[in-house]
Amino acid sequence: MQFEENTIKNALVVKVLENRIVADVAPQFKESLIAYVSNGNKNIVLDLSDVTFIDSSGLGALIGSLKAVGKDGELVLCGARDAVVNMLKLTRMDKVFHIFTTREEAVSTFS
Amino acid sequence: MKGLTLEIESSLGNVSLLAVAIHAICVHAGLGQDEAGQVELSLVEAVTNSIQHAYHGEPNQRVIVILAFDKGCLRFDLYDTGMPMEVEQVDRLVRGQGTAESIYLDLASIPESGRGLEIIRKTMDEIVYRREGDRNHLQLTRYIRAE
Repeated sequence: MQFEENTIKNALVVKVLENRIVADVAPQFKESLIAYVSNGNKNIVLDLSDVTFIDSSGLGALIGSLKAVGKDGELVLCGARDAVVNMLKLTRMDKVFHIFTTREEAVSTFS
Repeated sequence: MKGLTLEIESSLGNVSLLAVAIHAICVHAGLGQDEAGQVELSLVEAVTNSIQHAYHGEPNQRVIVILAFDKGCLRFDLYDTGMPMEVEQVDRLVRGQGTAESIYLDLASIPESGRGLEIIRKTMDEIVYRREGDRNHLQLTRYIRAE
């Protein structure tokens, strides 16, 4: 899986450079996100603007990553397209994740 | 009814090929983009279940999707020759048993897996599962509603 990383203020912004987060890439996706946490990043913005589709395996990887961040940090989402937002709503995970329209809004939560 | 048959080998890497074809056909048949996305999601979950649970990830097996549509509905007949679905899973999928809306009190209690059947149940209008000899037959129907 490919990611683009930027540090903006005190947040690490990770842009997912994949169109589909599904069962065949979900384990690697989760492993990569947890590695960011293990490397000491506590404020993470996950930019999903390139992601056009996510299935339950991909959603599970997101939940696992959110758990890995724990109470000492935060993982928030930004740029989610309709298909991803609809999936989060369908599974009621829109109540669990903090979802922002733009990365600027997401980064500002850590200021 | 118009229709076609799609077939893949039991590799997760093939599921997206099937999915994008199904999405395009759903739009062609009259569904909006969001509705087509729901059907695509439902089929991805069903085919992934066939590969991961019926075939236990065994490669070189076949998953077949026969698609038919008219003005009123889209119908998908999925076939695999893997292990049968367990009774408890069929109850969850067809009758919605054991999928009561959960209230998560804390993050740790949120499961990371097990949402596939619930997604199919929420996005399709009719669901029928049959074990036919040595094969699984899952029939999923989505109505095409007038705007």
